[in-house]
Amino acid sequence: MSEFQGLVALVTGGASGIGAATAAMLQQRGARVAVLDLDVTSAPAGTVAFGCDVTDAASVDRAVAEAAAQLGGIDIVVNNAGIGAAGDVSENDDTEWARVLDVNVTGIARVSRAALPHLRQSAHPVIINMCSAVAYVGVRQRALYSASKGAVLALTLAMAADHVADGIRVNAVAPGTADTPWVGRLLDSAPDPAAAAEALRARQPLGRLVTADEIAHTVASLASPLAASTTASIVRVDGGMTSLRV
Amino acid sequence: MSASRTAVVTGGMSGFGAGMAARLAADGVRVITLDIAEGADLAVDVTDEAAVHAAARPRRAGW
Repeated sequence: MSEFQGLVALVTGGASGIGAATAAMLQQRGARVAVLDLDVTSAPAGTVAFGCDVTDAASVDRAVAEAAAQLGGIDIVVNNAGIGAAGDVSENDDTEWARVLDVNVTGIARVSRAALPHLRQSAHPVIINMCSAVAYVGVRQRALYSASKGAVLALTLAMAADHVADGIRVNAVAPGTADTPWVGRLLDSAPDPAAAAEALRARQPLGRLVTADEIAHTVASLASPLAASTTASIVRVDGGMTSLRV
Repeated sequence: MSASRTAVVTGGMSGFGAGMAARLAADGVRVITLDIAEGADLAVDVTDEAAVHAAARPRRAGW
């Protein structure tokens, strides 16, 4: 399949985890891929990397403009950059609340805002936001993170409404707990990492964590021009976590 | 990737089903269409339980 031939994709947070898997898969399927990340040293082979901090509008504007100039426009934006947060509502101070929402929510606005003029020039424009299972179900010790991902869900629908007249599709993927460096760090910080890992697996009806490649596959599927009628869809890739009681 | 897999598509001779069958085949999946329409790999009426079972039987044994 060469359905991405001639298309340019921009993936934020594309140097590790889900973002790297997505960037690699889009590249492998024929897209030219720009990876935007704080640290681009491990950006997938074949992609073009740009240092970028999604909390800094000037940094975003510069990276998006450079990516569009070097790769010849932007057709696909994957707003994947995000950070985690643990604890109940009392366990993060205002500074941390502001920081996580700045990265996970406002970061999407900054990158999308910078990319929109390029998307309007595209024959197959699409934005995919990284949501989460915690936008659908209450999970303990994830108050701030869940608030940010609930916002991503609502933002996805609002963006889809705003840009549907321009032919720009906006969708989201909502993964369950994924086997990524991000979750690894979360586990490492737990009092009993082995028990915490087992608890995460037990929360997944499939009995294992979701893989980054499985999420990347769904992102690619939504990004494909073959999915031209799919907009305002939030696709769960969660092993049944949010829908099953088994 | 999908070379060893087989898909059964009911209603595979028209509309959505024909589209699914074509895409699966393009992806390298062996496709068997079940349909009451002419040209289906297996002429089967899915309201006929015996016919559905008969259609399934040789596949399990042979393929």
